[in-house]
Amino acid sequence: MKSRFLTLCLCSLLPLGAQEWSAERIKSNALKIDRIVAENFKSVGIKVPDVADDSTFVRRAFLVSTGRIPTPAEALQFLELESENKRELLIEYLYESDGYNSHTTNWLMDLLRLKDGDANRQMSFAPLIHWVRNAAETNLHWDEFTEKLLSSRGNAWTDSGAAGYFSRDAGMLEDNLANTMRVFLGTRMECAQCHDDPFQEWERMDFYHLAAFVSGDQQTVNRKKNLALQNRPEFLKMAAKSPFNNKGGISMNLYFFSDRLYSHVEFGVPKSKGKGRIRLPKDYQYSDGDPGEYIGAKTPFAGRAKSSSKKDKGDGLEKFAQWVTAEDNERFSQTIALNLWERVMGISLTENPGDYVEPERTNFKKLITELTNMIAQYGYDMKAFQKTLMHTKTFQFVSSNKHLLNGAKNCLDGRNLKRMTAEQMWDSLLSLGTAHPDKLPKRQEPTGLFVADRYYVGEIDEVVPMISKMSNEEYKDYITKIYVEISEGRGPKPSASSIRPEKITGLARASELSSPAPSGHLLDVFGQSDRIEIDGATLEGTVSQALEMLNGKVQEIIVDNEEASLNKAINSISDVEQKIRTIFLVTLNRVPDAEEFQMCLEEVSQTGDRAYRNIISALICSQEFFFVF
Amino acid sequence: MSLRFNSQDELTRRQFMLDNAKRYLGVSLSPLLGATLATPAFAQKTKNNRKPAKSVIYLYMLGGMSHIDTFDLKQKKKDIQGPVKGIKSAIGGYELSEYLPLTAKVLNKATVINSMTSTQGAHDQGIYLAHKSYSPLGTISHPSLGSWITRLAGRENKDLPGYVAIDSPARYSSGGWMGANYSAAMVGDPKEGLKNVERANSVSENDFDRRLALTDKLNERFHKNYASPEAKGFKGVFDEAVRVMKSKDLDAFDLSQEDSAIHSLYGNSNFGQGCLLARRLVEVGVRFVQVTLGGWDTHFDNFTAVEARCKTLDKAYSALLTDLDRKGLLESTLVVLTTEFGRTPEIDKSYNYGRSHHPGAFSSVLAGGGVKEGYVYGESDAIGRKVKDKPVTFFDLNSTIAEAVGVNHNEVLYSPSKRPFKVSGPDKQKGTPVMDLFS
Repeated sequence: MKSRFLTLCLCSLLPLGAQEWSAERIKSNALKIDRIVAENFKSVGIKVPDVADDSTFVRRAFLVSTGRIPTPAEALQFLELESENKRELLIEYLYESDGYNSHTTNWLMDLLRLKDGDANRQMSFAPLIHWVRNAAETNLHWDEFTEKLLSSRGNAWTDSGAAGYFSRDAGMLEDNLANTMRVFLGTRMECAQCHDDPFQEWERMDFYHLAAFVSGDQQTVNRKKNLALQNRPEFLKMAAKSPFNNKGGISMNLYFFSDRLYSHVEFGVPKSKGKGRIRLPKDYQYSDGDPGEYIGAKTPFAGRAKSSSKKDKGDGLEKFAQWVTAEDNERFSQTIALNLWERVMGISLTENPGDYVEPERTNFKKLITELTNMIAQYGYDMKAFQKTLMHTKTFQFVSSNKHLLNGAKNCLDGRNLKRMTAEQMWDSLLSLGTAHPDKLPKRQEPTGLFVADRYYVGEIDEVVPMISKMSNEEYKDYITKIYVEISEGRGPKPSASSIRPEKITGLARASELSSPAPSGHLLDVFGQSDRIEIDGATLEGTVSQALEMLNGKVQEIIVDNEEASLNKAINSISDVEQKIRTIFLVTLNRVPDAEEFQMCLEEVSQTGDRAYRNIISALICSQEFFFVF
Repeated sequence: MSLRFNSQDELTRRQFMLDNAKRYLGVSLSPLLGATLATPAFAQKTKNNRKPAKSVIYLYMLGGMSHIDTFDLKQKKKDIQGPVKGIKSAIGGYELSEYLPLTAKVLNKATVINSMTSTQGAHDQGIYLAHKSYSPLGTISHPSLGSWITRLAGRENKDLPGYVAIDSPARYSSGGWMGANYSAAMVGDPKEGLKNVERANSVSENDFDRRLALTDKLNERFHKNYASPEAKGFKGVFDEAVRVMKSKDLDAFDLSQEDSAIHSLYGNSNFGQGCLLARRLVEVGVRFVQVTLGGWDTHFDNFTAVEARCKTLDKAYSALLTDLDRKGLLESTLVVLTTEFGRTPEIDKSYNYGRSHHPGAFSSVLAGGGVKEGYVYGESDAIGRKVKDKPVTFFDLNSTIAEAVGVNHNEVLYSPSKRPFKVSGPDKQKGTPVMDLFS
């Protein structure tokens, strides 16, 4: 039977043509992994676990790769397909879908702590976010992704969004560096920012040697143009008669107006290319250096890169980026390989996949070494690597929590049960509530420059370069003129093609909503990362989550919503048994067993038409719905 | 939607079913559930054998409350004081700002600290420090004071959340590395109370219970196949949610139960009603309630802005102390009023008589919970720039709050990343309870 789904799968492959890695290569790599895992089973003397059934597989595969459960059509078409290699076909479909882009974007937003903006600094991170979204969509390979983030220069709005990487942490260059070391190299140096780390091998001196690479004004441009306005009474007076005041809650004198406009101009723009030397801080406390003394850049492991303390070389960023992504920097390959392994396989090979450990010190030396080599051989193509993992038999094992329950050794004999992430939860509800979650409204990169998201100043690619070129005096004249014009309603008007920095709200995938979601949103309640710190997300259960499911959003957008796709489907069926089976298929992607079926029939006989809502609500609130297993 | 549900029978025949093998034996009570509900033994000992306070109401003045125009007047320095006059307070010989007439009358219930000092002059860093005893780091998120107190002292009311934040930013009321279980239950508009505690309109109680019973049966089946500590823990969370819904104390969140005289006593502002809600919550044993009043960042036109803020504060604060006292709750409730920093002695004429950020010296006020009544602690210099006597840092203040509820301010807890933390902040800050504040 050639179903539409199968055709979809095949079609999705065709336009890409440039499949970099053949299916044979991916399968043979998957087999390599399975063999190592099987050797491990043999050596510890356990049986090879069972493989999960199709229902479990389809749900798991969708959640892991696209961040949501399948739509009813997707689930049904997979389950009905009679084909020996239907699991392989599904994997191809999943990794070429929009869902994959969305799910990958969420992950990158967490990892890079990407918020829409920073209220204190009136800064929008839109260009960086759009660069990252685009990287997910185009499957930018991890080494290139990393190198671009760490060494791009220019204005993030008009040159490359990657140039905003350092601006994300403006004023906190050292925190930025500590996070860079953690995200890309699995190395924790945050303690060494202030003191020698008693638990790790890093000394404060090591940290400053590294900081020397990125040292320089990486994060903001010289704001003299704007600061020149700050204490000029004539500009402050303009505030008093300005219609900006108290209009819609926005009170802006000329200085604040300029400040907000300027945050666009300054985003990105590393002035320095990395000095390659740095002064030790004033509170440097060890005998190997004096406070204020210049030290040169030096890397602490994996092929030394260094530069002199004598003068600014201006190539620090480039050297640093090359060192981080260098082939002989095993921390780079291993960190991304083990992160992706955990993400796909649902079980970690080390205590924390984000922390580098020498393979020799783990229980899976051979496997870790193989994975590390494999991702490098794939040229850091994350999609190929993840597909390979999903092609393994190991991925398909029935989930297991034996080692969590009784302290038994983790033998990779099944993934661990975990609650859905906040994003998986929200996006899965969309699979029940909307016709197709991947076809809902998406973010667009703004082209218009709107101060405070409402006052149009011009198109970004015109205004930003123009201001950059102005002298202080020219800027003062320009800003005064446009401020008065806008306040009097005579400001520039956006053209029809100008894209506003509009926020997507309502029913859209988590990756398209504001980052992070507003306080009280289901995403917030279910522990979405605050995107202030790397491990900001939590899977912990709270009372608010249970209340949200029992009485809140779940009821509003699914159970009580006649327009929800699930309810529409149920309403279109008249047969009771068919209705029950449909509810199970849509919410849990399986059919009810005899006992459950009986239970539901009993519910119908007791509560009549209300039964279906009761059953839907009960199924969504059941753990089978919100756990990934 | 193009569904082909007619093929359901086909599916049935295929028997897509989960593996029903009973692979697991019963599981002992999960550690997660334990962490959620466990109430550590509530320390009954304080350093001077006081009876520890049961609850804390933490009133936060967001933006930096001007000390010179509220609790720490500088009447002798006209150029510093500006137009604000002093009025007599219930503490003999101690004058309070004319903007706080009602508070002045109840000040004999409180201790004013005029020697607060901090080194953080930016809002985020300052607010973060006040709430968390640590400076913000990009690498870890610290638990809030309410998380610490609830975790160290445990819950008193087992059916309601231990930590509630009213109209407060999530960043400063999160559980940080302690996790979501120690984050505040958030109340936005106090008049609306806690979200989602009532059944959706369409659901009868009978249907609601039927749904729970169905879910339980499905979960039982799921646990047979997929036993895990997390799954068991979630059962506990749902049970707790239902307990909250059915709690006889849930009414504590319902302000409509108060008569109009009480409402107007507190004032109709969000902050006023938040204070009223705070009183209702501590009455039923909620451990820590935080209420925030914003708008204190008075760079521009300081005197108009401070006067307006004080109107809201004055009514709510005086009502809260009076009401707690009347209900016999003041002794068991510590009421803290604090802010991230004060404001500059200099008045900036170019900003229409504004005052800028000033962490060097500022004021906080404590009342109830075993704190001295009608007492002024510490002193700033003649113009309110520096602390002259008995400096109190946020590390000290937060240690004092811990001491008031009878928990050890030096107890070390480890984050999941195995870093050590204390409610009193980093070791080098030597946060210490100010014992002189207690009666």
